Amino acid sequence: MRGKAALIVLLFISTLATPIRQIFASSETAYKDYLYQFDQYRTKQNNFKVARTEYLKYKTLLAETTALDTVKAMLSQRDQLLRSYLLLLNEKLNENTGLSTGDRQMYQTMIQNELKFLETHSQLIPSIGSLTDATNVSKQLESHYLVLEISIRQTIVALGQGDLQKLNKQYDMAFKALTDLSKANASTVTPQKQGTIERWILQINNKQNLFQQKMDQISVATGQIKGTSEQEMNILFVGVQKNLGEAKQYLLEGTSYMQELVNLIRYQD
Amino acid sequence: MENEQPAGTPPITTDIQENATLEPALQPSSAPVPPEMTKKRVPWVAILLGVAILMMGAIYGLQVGRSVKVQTPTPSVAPTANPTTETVKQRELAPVATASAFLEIERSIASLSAAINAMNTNDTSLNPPSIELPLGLETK
Repeated sequence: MRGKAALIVLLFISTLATPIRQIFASSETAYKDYLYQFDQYRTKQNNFKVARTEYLKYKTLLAETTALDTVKAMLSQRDQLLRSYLLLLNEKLNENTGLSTGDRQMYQTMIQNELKFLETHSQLIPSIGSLTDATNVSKQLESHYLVLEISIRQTIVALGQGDLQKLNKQYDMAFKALTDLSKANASTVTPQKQGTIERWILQINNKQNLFQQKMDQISVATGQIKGTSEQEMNILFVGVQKNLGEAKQYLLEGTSYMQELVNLIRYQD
Repeated sequence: MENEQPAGTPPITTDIQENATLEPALQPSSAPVPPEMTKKRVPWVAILLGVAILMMGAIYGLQVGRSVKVQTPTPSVAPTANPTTETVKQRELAPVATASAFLEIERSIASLSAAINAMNTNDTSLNPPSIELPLGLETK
């Protein structure tokens, strides 16, 4: 009887543990796949570069055929690489517990749209019959690439925001518990010390307010990551990333204040 | 006996009484240093010099003695097993410090601090891949 009960408990625990392990493994698997696809892309890109050099130099039929074969392989792999990268971002969004459901769905929809574009684009590659066709097919991705990059950058920022929001929830819980404890303990401390405790609580709360203001700024700035060139978009992205760092700093400072408050409450004098 | 003279020599006249009031012909240009003054100055200088030499010697002796003292190993004091309560003063804990709620808060704040420190706002593993877009097949 005991043996059966133990077996049932073991099966129950293993059933619970399985999906958790899968969640943790999914972004790791996606990342490994992305690295593998990147490696493949580099090889095919190098093969194409060699063939292109020979074609541009000798203009022979053989060189042209080799260039055509290698460019098709490279174009296909390039789409595959971008696809694996977008799948990695998608998995990261799935695992991010700090994002609201609405935000997660919004960014996942963006990624799905980009994946659809890449799928359509990759279907054109087998029908390429000449180097001119290859150039035209490549130009379709080139003209769309800025839009794709904007979606990527916005998703990266959203992931950072999600991580910070998750930490903010923990901060909120710790702060609330600390405030409640201080109030409950108020009768056992001197009025002077209680005044100090209340002042420090205000400062901890102030740090959280500053954090929230920074997060609001980031949300506005993320929507404005646009630009007519990659360089312009990168400048906006770097600015938003700097704000993410500042928001993190506010949380860190507030947590440090909380640790000080804990030490103040710990001792009688 | 005194006034006996040989014959034929002129008689000796004593002018002592006549010259008794005469002043010396040449007076010294500067007054000579009285012997008492020179006798007093010389010993003082010697004493001062002696005292100075003695003091310098004493200072040197002290310094040498000090350096020798530093070089000599001092016996190490063995730590006592039971320190006195007078030297170690501990802060008194508040009653709330041992409460489970307090300990839980302390743990959660420490965990939060570690999580924030570990968070990377610029995760390079998420950087998009750098790809070459134009094929470069078009000849001018």
